[in-house]
Amino acid sequence: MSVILVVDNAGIGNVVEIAQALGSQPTVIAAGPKQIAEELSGSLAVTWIAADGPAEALAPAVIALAADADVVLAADRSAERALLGQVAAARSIPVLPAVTGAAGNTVSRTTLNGLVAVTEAVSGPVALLVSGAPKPVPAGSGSFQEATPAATYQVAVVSESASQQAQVDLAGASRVIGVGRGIKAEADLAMIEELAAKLGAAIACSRPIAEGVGWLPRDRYLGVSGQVIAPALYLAVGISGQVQHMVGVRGSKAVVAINSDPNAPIFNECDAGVVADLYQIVPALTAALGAS
Amino acid sequence: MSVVVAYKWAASPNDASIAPDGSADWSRAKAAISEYDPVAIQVARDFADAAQAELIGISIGAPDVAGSLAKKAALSRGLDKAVLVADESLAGAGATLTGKVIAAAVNQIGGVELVITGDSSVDIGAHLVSATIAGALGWPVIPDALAVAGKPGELEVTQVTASGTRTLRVTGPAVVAVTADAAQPKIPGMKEILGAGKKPSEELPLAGLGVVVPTGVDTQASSRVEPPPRAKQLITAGDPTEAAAELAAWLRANV
Repeated sequence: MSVILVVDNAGIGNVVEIAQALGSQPTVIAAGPKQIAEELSGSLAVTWIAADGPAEALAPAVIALAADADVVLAADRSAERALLGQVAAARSIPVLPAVTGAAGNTVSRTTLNGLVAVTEAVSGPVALLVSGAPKPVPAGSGSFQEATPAATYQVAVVSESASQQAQVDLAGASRVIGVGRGIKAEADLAMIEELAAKLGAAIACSRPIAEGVGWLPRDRYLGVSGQVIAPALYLAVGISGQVQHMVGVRGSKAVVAINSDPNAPIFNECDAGVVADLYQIVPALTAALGAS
Repeated sequence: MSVVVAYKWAASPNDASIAPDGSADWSRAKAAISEYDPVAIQVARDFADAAQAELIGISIGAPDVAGSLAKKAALSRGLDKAVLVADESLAGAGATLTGKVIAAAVNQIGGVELVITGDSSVDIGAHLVSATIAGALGWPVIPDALAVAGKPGELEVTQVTASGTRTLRVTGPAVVAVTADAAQPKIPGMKEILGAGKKPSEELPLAGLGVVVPTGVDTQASSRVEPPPRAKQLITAGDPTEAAAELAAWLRANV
């Protein structure tokens, strides 16, 4: 028996595939918006924890409902990951991160931040954190039931404030430009926006641009602990190409790099590359594309 | 009253040499306080100062976590005391075991109502240990915290969400995992480094913590992850306009 923990993202198609590959049709424990639970109940048997309050408060109910599952799974997203880790420790079962595949009783995953692939045989209950972009669940037959939590933690939302920055569906974009530390100032993003408009591309970034300097929202950074994308074109501008970043973009059909450092690792992982100053190439490329 | 910050002593896998069979040679990689953990220590130090609490660092792992280099590196960043569980069997411990050992150390210390952790470790990067500590303690975990205010047992945590930020009120003990940019960690100066040698540290024997090691996972195969092959066609025209025209032509032909 397997269960998938869900909070606020119904795109668990990749997690369902892993559960099925391990031999069982999963059920869902939903500890988030009722609407997400109802959406999934069209294709899976869903138990929704009927309570207000954030997922952080509902962990005791999730732990109780997942107490007997042989395999507990979650997509590698923050709220779901927190619940999965709590279930694993409460039950004292191993938790395997970065799972990419499964067959029979074996699980494939990466470790050392994406540098090493391992295949492991599982005997006994286990928790799996599944990598990958959100994926819709194929239509099927499902059901919906509510569970009243016996106990919760005292965590309450006091206030919320929405980001001023626009939300972008990176996973659904067919062309993505990634910007890195080669960009010297926030104002220079205007030049990238012009190129993106010409290419019809979404703008993403490496981790330091989102978390170090905060020029772009956190959900725009690509990599092993950020977004994983597979567009038709990934254009890396001023990104050196450390493995932690590349893990997030290796599924791209074409990878193109612009970087002034000829020794940047990205040049070993690109289809086409320009060794040059991005401040000269980006405006020139925008102009060249406009001339067509 | 004590606040605990959990930190890892680890080297970056980028500095290790990975063989085709996936085995890692760490001989040229230097261990340090894991990438994001100085941020956690800084947030915890600032919180402990405001709450007039003692700040205890907990680290678990292979014997080198209790070595003088590791202890000084951690204590010089502002801990009042370090509590270490150093055991050969904890080398490469998974998230469940790590969380349970840290939780057992927290219980041993006693009277702790707040454990702060960093975002993720430099070597594994799974973002799981804050949750496994919480699961083992029976406490809530608040991930993605930008700021922690209030006092132990009555916290106000500012959390990053997909659509912005929100403030959570947490009553009772809790584990809080801070974002990589929740604080700007201070670089320890000579005074802090010298002072670190005089601060107390304590080693807890693993056997005395009564932690049962989770089992049931056996490695069958491992290999170095090879990037997918790419054409690596370099455009070398010296003139930016020419190079851009070549790249534009490449894009039209290939994308």
